[in-house]
Amino acid sequence: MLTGMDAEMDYVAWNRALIRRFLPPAGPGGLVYLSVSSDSLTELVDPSDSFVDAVRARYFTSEGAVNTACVVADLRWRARGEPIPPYVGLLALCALAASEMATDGDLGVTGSNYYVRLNRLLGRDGVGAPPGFEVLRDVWCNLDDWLSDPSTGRGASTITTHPTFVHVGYPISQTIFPARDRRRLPDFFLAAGLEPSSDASAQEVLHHLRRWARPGCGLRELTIARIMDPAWEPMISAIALAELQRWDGLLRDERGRVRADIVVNVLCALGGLQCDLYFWPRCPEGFPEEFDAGSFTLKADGDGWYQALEGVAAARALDQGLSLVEKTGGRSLTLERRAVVPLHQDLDSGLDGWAATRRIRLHEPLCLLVERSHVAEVERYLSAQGSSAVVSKPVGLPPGWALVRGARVSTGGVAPAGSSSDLTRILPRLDTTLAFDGGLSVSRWDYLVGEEPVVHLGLAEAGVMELDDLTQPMASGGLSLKLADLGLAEGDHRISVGPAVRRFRTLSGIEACAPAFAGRQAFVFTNHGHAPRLAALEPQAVDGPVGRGDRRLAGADIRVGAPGSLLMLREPILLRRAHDAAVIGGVPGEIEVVTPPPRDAWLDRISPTAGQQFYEAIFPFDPWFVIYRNVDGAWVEGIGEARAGALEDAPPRGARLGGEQELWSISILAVDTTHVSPPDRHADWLRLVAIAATLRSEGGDE
Amino acid sequence: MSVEGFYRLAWWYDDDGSAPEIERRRLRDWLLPYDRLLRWMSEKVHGSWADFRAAHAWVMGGDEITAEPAWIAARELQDLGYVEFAWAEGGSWCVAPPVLTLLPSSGGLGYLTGARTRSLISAIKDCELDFFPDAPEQGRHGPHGVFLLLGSPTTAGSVAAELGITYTFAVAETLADTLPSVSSMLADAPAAPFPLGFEREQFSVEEMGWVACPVAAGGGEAPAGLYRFRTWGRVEHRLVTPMGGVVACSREAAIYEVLRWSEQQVLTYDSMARCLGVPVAARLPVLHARVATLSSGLLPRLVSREGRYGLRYDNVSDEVAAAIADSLAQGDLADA
Repeated sequence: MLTGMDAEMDYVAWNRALIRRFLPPAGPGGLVYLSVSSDSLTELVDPSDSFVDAVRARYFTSEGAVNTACVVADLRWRARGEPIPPYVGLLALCALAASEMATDGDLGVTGSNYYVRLNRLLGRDGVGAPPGFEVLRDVWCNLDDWLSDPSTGRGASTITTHPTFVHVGYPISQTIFPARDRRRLPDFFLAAGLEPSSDASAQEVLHHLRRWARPGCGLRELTIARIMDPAWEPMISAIALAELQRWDGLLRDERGRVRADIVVNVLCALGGLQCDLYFWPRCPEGFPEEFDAGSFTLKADGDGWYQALEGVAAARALDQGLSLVEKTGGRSLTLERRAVVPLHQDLDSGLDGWAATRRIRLHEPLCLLVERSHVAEVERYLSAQGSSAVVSKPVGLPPGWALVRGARVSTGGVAPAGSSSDLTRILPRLDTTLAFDGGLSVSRWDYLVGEEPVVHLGLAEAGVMELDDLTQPMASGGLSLKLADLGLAEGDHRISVGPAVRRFRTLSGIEACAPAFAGRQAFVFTNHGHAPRLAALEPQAVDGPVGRGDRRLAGADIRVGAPGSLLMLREPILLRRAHDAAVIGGVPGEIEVVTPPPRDAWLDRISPTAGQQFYEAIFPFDPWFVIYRNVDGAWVEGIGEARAGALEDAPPRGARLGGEQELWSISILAVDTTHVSPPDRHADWLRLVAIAATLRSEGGDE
Repeated sequence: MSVEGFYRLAWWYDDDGSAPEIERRRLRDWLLPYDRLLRWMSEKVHGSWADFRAAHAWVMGGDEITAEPAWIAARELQDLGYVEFAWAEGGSWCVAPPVLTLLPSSGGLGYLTGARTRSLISAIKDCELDFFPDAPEQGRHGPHGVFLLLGSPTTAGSVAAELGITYTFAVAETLADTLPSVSSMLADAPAAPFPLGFEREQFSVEEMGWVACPVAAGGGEAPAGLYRFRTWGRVEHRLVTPMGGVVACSREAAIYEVLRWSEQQVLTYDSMARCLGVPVAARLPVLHARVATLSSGLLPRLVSREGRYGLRYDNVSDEVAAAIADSLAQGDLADA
């Protein structure tokens, strides 16, 4: 046992190391646990006995009672100006005792059993709580306050307690889900179709957790027992819900590394006589384009996959599982060893043939990759389902494995007695579920009107389904509901079945003709002297103003940075197709008589009638008016823009009337005699009439 | 006056869930999957390739197996000017700003491309236009097109201003000014060796297609040409240059490069019909395809001639056809 200054120094070092290890700055959103175990202590310093000695020397008397004076003094650590709480080591000892309960599953989770472990650690002979133990409640609350202070940046506290076992509830709350089991929770979330913002209640999460937590799910047996134990229901459900709300959507391996699955893919040929096996590592969001596994590198294909693993011994991979760890140690790709691997046709994945899935889905065509020793029980199960299946051993399958094809499972429920966990873990669950599938969502839980998803409802026992104000009794079983067929009005909606509740919104669109962020991906042309040059063959993410002399093209929208310019096209005049026309400009002599050209055949693709009404023409002058004629007479329409000053310049005094000038004047005056004038630009027209009259009279004089 | 196409589209966009079920069902029969896809993209504005694939599968309903792959739909929506996909960034996409353009030689037809939000369609419906042509299907993978009979560039400009969107006269002819040349498209192609262990095929300019190209006994360097390899989950292309360099390249640009080497002309142009012909085996690079497509607002027609398939782009002006041919080193266009 350590005493005096040495022990004090030792405790301070332990306290600091424990805070660094278990309560690190996690940033907002992260959960922190003081989940101390003998293994984790050994990782810090070996041997861990010195830790217990150091805590005992500081906080316990030689009789094993709590040194309450020291504890109370340490609660004033802030007033003493200390940067970190000094009592974390003490609480860690309490958590260590709780974690050791896990190794004695037969002792059960009760207050008395906790004190057995604590007293053993303290070397105390007595039974029950050490004298003064109740003061530790204030210490836990003090730590909770510190963690809850955002300025500490330590992440969210998970300190809570049990309504009955108040004092031991605090340390147990920190170890009831040890790190290894917490890392399996994302697998549970995924299997249960839960999402971080799925609005699930603690009760709903617990309901699903109890269905999922079976032998073979990856949780320790004691954790499974605690999940099923009603005594720990509030604590378990609160922790699971908190973990769900902070889940980043990624899976973790047993060491806490972000993990992605390696998916087995079976391609059958020759009627199932031959098959090829591939192993495709997933490349989820956040994984690198190139996964450096040390001795080799995997490249992502852009469709959510890395390239298939080459040179993998299929038999060994299936028999033992596979784990590729990134060289930097941050991520891993894993194939879990399973004796029964359900395969389905996954159209969304882009994989051909049969791809591994986590669980059999009802009514889905199914293929199973089965270790030989499990074939009989799989056949028994499928037979009980009334599903005929063919067991084969195609060429290309590793020794010791068989393929079960042509299966389909039509009811959920239990596997035959004596079935292995390898089989039971993949069976479809007849459970209370509420999962959204598909739909066109513009953001999470926001769907376009008429494009709402399909909801798969499952009810373990008869109950009620509610959609907004509608209530519908449901027998036990499954049901798929097409929300898009229900004509849901724009707005907020709520659907529930049993304890499962989802809220979503329908909307018909955004309130903008041109979305603010449209065009943020564009082809970029950079300025290279005389002509802009395409910077890259692909559109790039762009923001801010266009560079000087550069261009950006998004769809048909082209933006030019000064002083670059684009070819400015002369815009044509559109004339009505049904009639001959005389187009006149503001200067005497500017006239062209046109006949409509034949109609372009391609316009039939748009409409049999559209485009018959206009055709385009370009003139060497700026047209002002068009005079149409048909059997009923003539009329005038203003076209183009009047040029300022043009009328003042024309007509040239003393100009000789003839040719185009004459035609121009005659055309204008001929229409004028019918008392027709354009509906707009009336004054301009009258001035042209006056000019034409003047020209005619001067020409006539000569 | 056609009351069908555009008004159906507008009615569907404006539905806030209050439409009678029978009307909704009739409308659903008329809608194309790509109308729904474009509406969703316009309202979502940007997203990932996974988003697009999931939405594509959704709008295809139970036809996923027979439907063309999502990437073909993506490419054609891109050609029509609705959206840009960045394949180099995993297929992330962003809709383009809405643009109203007056199609040349169309008798005053305006074509609306880019984002097509509910607000925009509703605002167009409220414009006092004399006539909305039918909303035609723009091709096998296109949505219904929105064409407006505008009558004059002045009207087009004022309608665009009223809608708060960009107006460009004959945008295809404007864009033709920006088309990159084949050599510039390959200038920065990175050196990359042949993928090992995969069967290779070579593009044959004589066959205008891919032919198996087994590795010669004893190995040896591959002759100049374009090669493709079906690797895991993707097709990769390598161009072996006459100097012996091997570069990773885009298929479309590289095909026109090898056609240039053999001085083979594959593009045709019918100046009377204003129609540009392109072999299916030598599809245009994306910007060139967009220029050709925006000449009419319609995807090319698939035609068969002497057992070979070709694409026909409508309403392509002499100038645009010449710019496409020139940038792809196709010389003077042969008349179809």
